[in-house]
Amino acid sequence: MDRTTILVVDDNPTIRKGLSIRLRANGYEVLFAEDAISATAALVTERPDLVILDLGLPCGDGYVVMERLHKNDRLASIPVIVLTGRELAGNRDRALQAGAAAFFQKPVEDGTLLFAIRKALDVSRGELRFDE
Amino acid sequence: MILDTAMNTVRVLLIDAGEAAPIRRSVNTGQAEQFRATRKATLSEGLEALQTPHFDVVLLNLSLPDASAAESVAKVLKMARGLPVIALVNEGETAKIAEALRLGAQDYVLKGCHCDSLIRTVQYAIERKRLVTEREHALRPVTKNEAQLIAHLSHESRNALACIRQFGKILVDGLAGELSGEQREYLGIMLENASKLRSVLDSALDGTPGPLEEYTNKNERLSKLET
Repeated sequence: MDRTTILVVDDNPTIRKGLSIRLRANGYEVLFAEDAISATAALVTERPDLVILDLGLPCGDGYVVMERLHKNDRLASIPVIVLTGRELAGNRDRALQAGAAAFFQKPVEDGTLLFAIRKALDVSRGELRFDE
Repeated sequence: MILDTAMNTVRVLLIDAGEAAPIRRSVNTGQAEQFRATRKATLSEGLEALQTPHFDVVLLNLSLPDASAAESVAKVLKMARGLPVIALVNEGETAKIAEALRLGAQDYVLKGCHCDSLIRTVQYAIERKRLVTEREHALRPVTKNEAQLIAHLSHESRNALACIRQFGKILVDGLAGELSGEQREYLGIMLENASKLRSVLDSALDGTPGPLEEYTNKNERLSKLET
Protein backbone atom coordinates (compact mmCIF):
# COMPACT_ATOMS: atom_id res chain seq x y z
CA MET A 1 0.00 0.00 0.00
CA ASP A 2 1.23 3.52 -0.88
CA ARG A 3 2.30 5.71 1.96
CA THR A 4 -0.01 8.55 2.94
CA THR A 5 1.25 11.83 1.53
CA ILE A 6 0.90 15.12 3.37
CA LEU A 7 1.51 18.49 1.76
CA VAL A 8 2.91 20.99 4.25
CA VAL A 9 2.26 24.57 3.13
CA ASP A 10 4.16 27.14 5.17
CA ASP A 11 6.43 30.03 4.23
CA ASN A 12 8.68 29.41 7.24
CA PRO A 13 11.40 26.84 6.30
CA THR A 14 12.10 25.97 9.93
CA ILE A 15 8.44 25.14 10.55
CA ARG A 16 8.41 23.01 7.38
CA LYS A 17 11.52 21.14 8.47
CA GLY A 18 10.24 20.52 12.01
CA LEU A 19 6.89 19.25 10.75
CA SER A 20 8.54 17.01 8.18
CA ILE A 21 10.72 15.32 10.81
CA ARG A 22 7.68 14.68 13.00
CA LEU A 23 5.45 13.49 10.18
CA ARG A 24 8.09 11.23 8.61
CA ALA A 25 8.76 9.70 12.03
CA ASN A 26 5.08 8.77 12.07
CA GLY A 27 5.19 7.11 8.68
CA TYR A 28 3.95 9.87 6.40
CA GLU A 29 5.41 11.00 3.11
CA VAL A 30 5.90 14.76 3.19
CA LEU A 31 5.77 17.33 0.39
CA PHE A 32 6.31 21.06 0.73
CA ALA A 33 5.05 24.33 -0.64
CA GLU A 34 6.07 27.78 0.54
CA ASP A 35 3.44 30.03 -1.00
CA ALA A 36 -0.11 29.94 -2.35
CA ILE A 37 0.94 29.44 -5.99
CA SER A 38 3.33 26.53 -5.39
CA ALA A 39 0.74 25.02 -2.99
CA THR A 40 -1.91 25.07 -5.73
CA ALA A 41 0.56 23.57 -8.21
CA ALA A 42 1.54 20.80 -5.77
CA LEU A 43 -2.12 20.00 -5.12
CA VAL A 44 -2.76 19.51 -8.83
CA THR A 45 0.41 17.59 -9.70
CA GLU A 46 0.83 15.49 -6.56
CA ARG A 47 -2.72 15.18 -5.24
CA PRO A 48 -1.66 14.62 -1.60
CA ASP A 49 -3.89 12.77 0.88
CA LEU A 50 -3.98 15.71 3.28
CA VAL A 51 -2.80 19.33 3.51
CA ILE A 52 -1.38 21.13 6.53
CA LEU A 53 -1.94 24.74 5.60
CA ASP A 54 -0.63 27.99 7.04
CA LEU A 55 -2.89 31.02 6.48
CA GLY A 56 -0.27 33.76 6.13
CA LEU A 57 1.46 32.96 2.82
CA PRO A 58 3.13 34.92 0.03
CA CYS A 59 1.29 35.22 -3.31
CA GLY A 60 -2.15 34.83 -1.76
CA ASP A 61 -3.02 33.23 1.55
CA GLY A 62 -4.34 29.99 2.96
CA TYR A 63 -7.92 30.99 2.20
CA VAL A 64 -7.04 31.36 -1.49
CA VAL A 65 -5.51 27.87 -1.48
CA MET A 66 -8.64 26.39 0.14
CA GLU A 67 -10.87 28.19 -2.33
CA ARG A 68 -8.93 26.81 -5.33
CA LEU A 69 -8.88 23.34 -3.80
CA HIS A 70 -12.63 23.25 -3.23
CA LYS A 71 -13.39 24.54 -6.74
CA ASN A 72 -11.58 21.57 -8.27
CA ASP A 73 -13.69 18.40 -8.16
CA ARG A 74 -10.64 16.17 -8.26
CA LEU A 75 -9.12 17.90 -5.22
CA ALA A 76 -12.16 19.00 -3.24
CA SER A 77 -12.18 15.92 -0.98
CA ILE A 78 -8.59 16.42 0.24
CA PRO A 79 -8.81 17.30 3.94
CA VAL A 80 -7.12 20.52 5.03
CA ILE A 81 -5.79 21.14 8.52
CA VAL A 82 -5.07 24.79 9.16
CA LEU A 83 -2.00 25.43 11.31
CA THR A 84 -1.41 29.14 11.65
CA GLY A 85 0.25 31.86 13.65
CA ARG A 86 -2.66 34.19 12.95
CA GLU A 87 -4.90 35.41 15.75
CA LEU A 88 -7.89 33.31 16.77
CA ALA A 89 -10.57 35.96 16.35
CA GLY A 90 -12.02 35.91 12.87
CA ASN A 91 -9.71 33.20 11.57
CA ARG A 92 -10.94 30.02 13.27
CA ASP A 93 -14.56 30.44 12.17
CA ARG A 94 -13.56 31.66 8.73
CA ALA A 95 -11.19 28.71 8.17
CA LEU A 96 -13.74 26.13 9.30
CA GLN A 97 -16.42 27.75 7.13
CA ALA A 98 -13.99 27.67 4.21
CA GLY A 99 -13.88 23.89 4.59
CA ALA A 100 -10.94 23.21 6.92
CA ALA A 101 -11.24 19.90 8.78
CA ALA A 102 -9.46 21.37 11.81
CA PHE A 103 -7.94 24.66 12.93
CA PHE A 104 -4.89 24.96 15.19
CA GLN A 105 -2.84 27.90 16.31
CA LYS A 106 0.91 27.49 16.45
CA PRO A 107 2.43 25.99 18.41
CA VAL A 108 0.32 22.84 18.48
CA GLU A 109 1.01 19.71 20.51
CA ASP A 110 2.38 16.98 18.25
CA GLY A 111 -0.07 14.43 19.64
CA THR A 112 -3.02 16.74 18.95
CA LEU A 113 -1.92 17.37 15.37
CA LEU A 114 -1.23 13.68 14.67
CA PHE A 115 -4.64 12.72 16.08
CA ALA A 116 -6.36 15.33 13.89
CA ILE A 117 -4.46 14.05 10.84
CA ARG A 118 -5.54 10.45 11.47
CA LYS A 119 -9.14 11.49 12.04
CA ALA A 120 -9.30 13.72 8.95
CA LEU A 121 -7.82 10.93 6.82
CA ASP A 122 -10.33 8.42 8.21
CA VAL A 123 -13.18 10.80 7.41
CA SER A 124 -11.94 11.47 3.87
CA ARG A 125 -11.61 7.73 3.25
CA GLY A 126 -15.14 7.19 4.45
CA GLU A 127 -14.06 5.19 7.47
CA LEU A 128 -15.34 7.75 9.97
CA ARG A 129 -17.78 10.62 10.10
CA PHE A 130 -16.71 14.00 11.49
CA ASP A 131 -19.02 13.72 14.46
CA GLU A 132 -17.56 10.39 15.58
CA MET B 1 0.22 66.96 44.72
CA ILE B 2 -1.94 64.95 42.36
CA LEU B 3 -1.44 67.04 39.26
CA ASP B 4 1.57 67.32 37.08
CA THR B 5 0.83 69.62 34.18
CA ALA B 6 3.48 70.93 31.82
CA MET B 7 4.03 74.15 33.77
CA ASN B 8 2.98 72.71 37.14
CA THR B 9 0.06 75.11 36.88
CA VAL B 10 -3.60 74.18 36.70
CA ARG B 11 -5.31 76.47 34.21
CA VAL B 12 -8.86 77.14 35.36
CA LEU B 13 -11.56 78.65 33.18
CA LEU B 14 -14.02 80.32 35.53
CA ILE B 15 -17.34 81.04 33.84
CA ASP B 16 -19.39 83.22 36.16
CA ALA B 17 -21.07 86.59 36.06
CA GLY B 18 -19.07 88.09 38.86
CA GLU B 19 -20.88 87.16 42.00
CA ALA B 20 -18.46 84.28 42.39
CA ALA B 21 -15.51 86.63 42.76
CA PRO B 22 -14.41 85.01 46.04
CA ILE B 23 -14.04 81.77 44.13
CA ARG B 24 -11.75 83.46 41.65
CA ARG B 25 -9.71 84.96 44.44
CA SER B 26 -9.46 81.55 46.08
CA VAL B 27 -8.23 79.98 42.92
CA ASN B 28 -5.79 82.73 42.10
CA THR B 29 -4.43 83.41 45.54
CA GLY B 30 -4.87 80.11 47.35
CA GLN B 31 -1.93 78.41 45.79
CA ALA B 32 -0.78 80.95 43.28
CA GLU B 33 2.10 78.85 42.06
CA GLN B 34 -0.25 76.00 41.10
CA PHE B 35 -3.45 77.62 39.85
CA ARG B 36 -4.23 80.32 37.31
CA ALA B 37 -7.82 81.37 36.63
CA THR B 38 -9.32 83.15 33.65
CA ARG B 39 -12.83 84.54 34.15
CA LYS B 40 -15.51 84.85 31.50
CA ALA B 41 -18.77 86.51 32.52
CA THR B 42 -21.24 84.80 30.17
CA LEU B 43 -21.78 81.38 28.69
CA SER B 44 -21.09 82.60 25.16
CA GLU B 45 -17.77 84.14 26.24
CA GLY B 46 -16.90 80.96 28.11
CA LEU B 47 -17.68 78.81 25.07
CA GLU B 48 -15.53 81.06 22.93
CA ALA B 49 -12.64 80.72 25.39
CA LEU B 50 -13.00 76.94 25.26
CA GLN B 51 -12.19 76.96 21.57
CA THR B 52 -8.54 77.33 22.63
CA PRO B 53 -6.76 74.45 24.34
CA HIS B 54 -5.58 76.63 27.20
CA PHE B 55 -7.45 75.12 30.14
CA ASP B 56 -7.29 72.07 32.39
CA VAL B 57 -10.62 72.44 34.15
CA VAL B 58 -13.81 74.51 33.94
CA LEU B 59 -15.58 76.04 36.93
CA LEU B 60 -19.10 76.81 35.72
CA ASN B 61 -21.56 79.02 37.55
CA LEU B 62 -25.01 77.52 37.03
CA SER B 63 -26.72 80.94 37.37
CA LEU B 64 -25.42 82.66 34.25
CA PRO B 65 -27.34 85.57 32.70
CA ASP B 66 -27.52 84.09 29.20
CA ALA B 67 -28.44 80.44 29.80
CA SER B 68 -30.22 78.00 32.08
CA ALA B 69 -28.21 75.65 34.31
CA ALA B 70 -28.87 72.60 32.15
CA GLU B 71 -28.07 74.46 28.92
CA SER B 72 -24.83 75.82 30.40
CA VAL B 73 -23.63 72.39 31.50
CA ALA B 74 -24.57 70.67 28.24
CA LYS B 75 -22.94 73.29 26.02
CA VAL B 76 -19.79 73.60 28.10
CA LEU B 77 -19.35 69.82 28.26
CA LYS B 78 -19.72 69.61 24.51
CA MET B 79 -17.22 72.40 23.88
CA ALA B 80 -14.82 71.37 26.68
CA ARG B 81 -13.97 68.13 24.81
CA GLY B 82 -12.86 65.99 27.73
CA LEU B 83 -12.03 68.68 30.28
CA PRO B 84 -13.53 68.16 33.70
CA VAL B 85 -16.38 70.58 34.45
CA ILE B 86 -17.20 71.57 38.03
CA ALA B 87 -20.51 73.28 38.77
CA LEU B 88 -20.60 76.36 41.02
CA VAL B 89 -23.86 76.50 42.97
CA ASN B 90 -25.51 78.23 45.87
CA GLU B 91 -26.29 76.25 48.97
CA GLY B 92 -29.68 74.53 48.66
CA GLU B 93 -29.69 74.29 44.85
CA THR B 94 -29.97 70.52 44.99
CA ALA B 95 -32.01 70.19 41.81
CA LYS B 96 -29.38 72.10 39.82
CA ILE B 97 -26.61 69.98 41.33
CA ALA B 98 -28.39 66.74 40.44
CA GLU B 99 -29.06 67.94 36.89
CA ALA B 100 -25.45 69.06 36.38
CA LEU B 101 -24.03 65.75 37.62
CA ARG B 102 -26.55 63.81 35.55
CA LEU B 103 -25.48 65.69 32.44
CA GLY B 104 -21.81 64.87 33.05
CA ALA B 105 -20.29 67.49 35.36
CA GLN B 106 -17.49 65.97 37.39
CA ASP B 107 -18.40 67.60 40.70
CA TYR B 108 -19.80 70.75 42.29
CA VAL B 109 -18.64 73.36 44.80
CA LEU B 110 -20.63 75.84 46.82
CA LYS B 111 -20.00 79.49 46.18
CA GLY B 112 -18.09 80.86 49.11
CA CYS B 113 -16.61 77.52 50.05
CA HIS B 114 -13.28 77.34 51.78
CA CYS B 115 -10.25 77.79 49.54
CA ASP B 116 -8.73 74.40 50.44
CA SER B 117 -11.99 72.64 49.71
CA LEU B 118 -12.22 74.28 46.27
CA ILE B 119 -8.66 73.38 45.38
CA ARG B 120 -9.18 69.78 46.49
CA THR B 121 -12.36 69.53 44.43
CA VAL B 122 -10.52 70.83 41.36
CA GLN B 123 -7.65 68.41 41.85
CA TYR B 124 -9.92 65.42 42.37
CA ALA B 125 -12.10 66.34 39.38
CA ILE B 126 -9.07 66.46 37.09
CA GLU B 127 -7.75 63.20 38.48
CA ARG B 128 -11.12 61.44 38.16
CA LYS B 129 -11.52 62.69 34.61
CA ARG B 130 -8.05 61.43 33.75
CA LEU B 131 -8.86 57.98 35.14
CA VAL B 132 -12.20 57.83 33.29
CA THR B 133 -10.49 58.85 30.04
CA GLU B 134 -7.82 56.18 30.54
CA ARG B 135 -10.49 53.58 31.20
CA GLU B 136 -12.45 54.60 28.11
CA HIS B 137 -9.25 54.49 26.06
CA ALA B 138 -8.52 50.96 27.30
CA LEU B 139 -12.04 49.76 26.48
CA ARG B 140 -12.36 51.31 23.03
CA PRO B 141 -12.43 49.02 19.99
CA VAL B 142 -9.02 48.38 18.48
CA THR B 143 -8.10 50.51 15.47
CA LYS B 144 -7.10 49.07 12.11
CA ASN B 145 -3.40 49.77 12.82
CA GLU B 146 -3.61 48.06 16.19
CA ALA B 147 -5.35 45.06 14.63
CA GLN B 148 -2.55 44.81 12.07
CA LEU B 149 0.05 45.06 14.82
CA ILE B 150 -1.67 42.30 16.82
CA ALA B 151 -1.87 40.10 13.71
CA HIS B 152 1.83 40.69 13.00
CA LEU B 153 2.85 40.00 16.61
CA SER B 154 0.71 36.88 16.70
CA HIS B 155 2.14 35.51 13.45
CA GLU B 156 5.80 36.20 14.25
CA SER B 157 5.78 35.16 17.90
CA ARG B 158 3.75 31.98 17.31
CA ASN B 159 6.00 30.88 14.45
CA ALA B 160 9.13 31.41 16.56
CA LEU B 161 7.59 29.58 19.50
CA ALA B 162 6.41 26.75 17.26
CA CYS B 163 9.99 26.26 16.00
CA ILE B 164 11.37 26.12 19.55
CA ARG B 165 8.76 23.58 20.60
CA GLN B 166 8.93 21.48 17.44
CA PHE B 167 12.67 20.98 17.59
CA GLY B 168 12.74 20.65 21.35
CA LYS B 169 10.22 17.80 21.13
CA ILE B 170 12.13 16.23 18.24
CA LEU B 171 15.21 16.10 20.49
CA VAL B 172 13.29 14.90 23.56
CA ASP B 173 11.64 12.13 21.53
CA GLY B 174 15.03 10.92 20.31
CA LEU B 175 14.30 11.60 16.65
CA ALA B 176 17.77 13.15 16.27
CA GLY B 177 19.63 10.63 18.42
CA GLU B 178 19.75 9.57 22.05
CA LEU B 179 20.06 12.19 24.79
CA SER B 180 21.79 11.95 28.14
CA GLY B 181 19.65 12.31 31.26
CA GLU B 182 21.04 15.78 31.88
CA GLN B 183 20.35 16.91 28.30
CA ARG B 184 16.81 15.58 28.59
CA GLU B 185 16.32 17.46 31.86
CA TYR B 186 17.48 20.77 30.40
CA LEU B 187 15.31 20.35 27.32
CA GLY B 188 12.37 19.65 29.61
CA ILE B 189 13.01 23.00 31.31
CA MET B 190 13.10 24.75 27.93
CA LEU B 191 9.85 23.17 26.79
CA GLU B 192 8.11 23.89 30.09
CA ASN B 193 8.98 27.57 29.70
CA ALA B 194 7.90 27.55 26.07
CA SER B 195 4.51 26.32 27.29
CA LYS B 196 4.33 29.18 29.78
CA LEU B 197 5.18 31.63 27.01
CA ARG B 198 2.40 30.16 24.89
CA SER B 199 -0.10 30.74 27.72
CA VAL B 200 1.05 34.36 27.94
CA LEU B 201 0.60 34.79 24.17
CA ASP B 202 -2.85 33.17 24.19
CA SER B 203 -3.90 35.46 27.01
CA ALA B 204 -2.41 38.65 25.56
CA LEU B 205 -3.30 38.22 21.89
CA ASP B 206 -6.46 36.14 21.88
CA GLY B 207 -8.01 36.87 25.26
CA THR B 208 -7.81 33.22 26.30
CA PRO B 209 -7.78 32.98 30.12
CA GLY B 210 -4.16 32.70 31.15
CA PRO B 211 -1.43 34.26 33.26
CA LEU B 212 -2.21 37.85 32.19
CA GLU B 213 -5.83 37.52 33.24
CA GLU B 214 -4.81 35.99 36.54
CA TYR B 215 -2.40 38.89 37.02
CA THR B 216 -5.12 41.45 36.24
CA ASN B 217 -7.67 39.75 38.49
CA LYS B 218 -5.14 39.56 41.28
CA ASN B 219 -4.36 43.27 40.98
CA GLU B 220 -8.05 44.15 40.89
CA ARG B 221 -8.58 42.14 44.05
CA LEU B 222 -5.63 43.88 45.70
CA SER B 223 -7.00 47.30 44.67
CA LYS B 224 -10.36 46.47 46.21
CA LEU B 225 -8.68 45.36 49.42
CA GLU B 226 -6.69 48.60 49.54
CA THR B 227 -9.82 50.71 49.13
